[in-house]
Amino acid sequence: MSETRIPNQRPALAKSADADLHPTTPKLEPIDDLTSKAGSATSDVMRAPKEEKLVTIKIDIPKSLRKSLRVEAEKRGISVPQLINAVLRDRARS
Amino acid sequence: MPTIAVLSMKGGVGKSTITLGLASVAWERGHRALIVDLDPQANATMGLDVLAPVFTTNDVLADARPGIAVDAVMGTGWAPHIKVLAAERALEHRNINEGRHSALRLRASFASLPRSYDLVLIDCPPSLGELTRNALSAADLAVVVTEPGYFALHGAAQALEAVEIIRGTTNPGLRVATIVINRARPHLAEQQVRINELREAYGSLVSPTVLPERTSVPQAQGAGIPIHAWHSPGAREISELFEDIYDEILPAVNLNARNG
Repeated sequence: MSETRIPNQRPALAKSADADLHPTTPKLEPIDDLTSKAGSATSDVMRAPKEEKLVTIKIDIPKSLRKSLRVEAEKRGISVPQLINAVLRDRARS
Repeated sequence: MPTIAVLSMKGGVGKSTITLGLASVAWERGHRALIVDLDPQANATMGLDVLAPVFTTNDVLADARPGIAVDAVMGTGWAPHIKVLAAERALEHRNINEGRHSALRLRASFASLPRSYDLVLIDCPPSLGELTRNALSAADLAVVVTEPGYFALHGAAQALEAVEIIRGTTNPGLRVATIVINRARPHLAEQQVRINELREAYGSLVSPTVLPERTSVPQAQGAGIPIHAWHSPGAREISELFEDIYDEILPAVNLNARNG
């Protein structure tokens, strides 16, 4: 029994990493930017948002999707977890 | 075989209407047509009775591997010979420069795809961003759409400039097929002045066929059917005018192919 393989078969098209991200969603700012002004006398309006407790979720995703996420995260200048957070947050709002 | 980009820099002048009108002629004549929706508003996609596409032009442009567009081609509610590369809201993410050869991503993703069709129509967004640059870089011909109004005429002029820029950079073979005047109400003096201005400025490049405003057009779009399938006197009138524009564009393409 020999396995029939199609040579040079390319991976199929996948959904882009930002398919569920609303185009008006702003790029996430580094947390440092938000906290830098907290505590100063006149600009406490920039006080850092109350920290939410973080939980860890483990999921299995295709390797190709992880690659797409890395590319997209790099393009936006954020980390992969930040990108996933943004996508999921946008999804949960809509 | 020919790939035609339908564009204007002004929104709301009827780019999707013209795209769907030409697709309707292909539907009526049994020509195999692929409609490529590059407008994140996805109006052409909706007009083709496609409501929940799996893959879209956003995914195709994000990937951009040679020939990958074929994975995203899907059927429409119109007929088996009318196919679509659908759009979605997230396509707006692709309207920015994505690095080297950014304007050639659509062309690369097409590879030999256009050869499978008698006609490929690209519905452009109303902007001069990366989506329009991709459309013009992948097209053989540009159809510029305008209304007979001051702002729309400026939008048409900008579209023609865009064609010139793309000709000088990524696509030397690109030509303007025609300028179509849409949604005309010729009894209005102001509109007649604008139509005359357009003809004086661009001469024979302006189509002799002027499309009047008819309620049957949005009615057919809302129903998700070709204008040729909408049975009303207004729809019949518009259908015939779309056929005139189609015939005006296609002989030029055939002649070009023979010369090439």
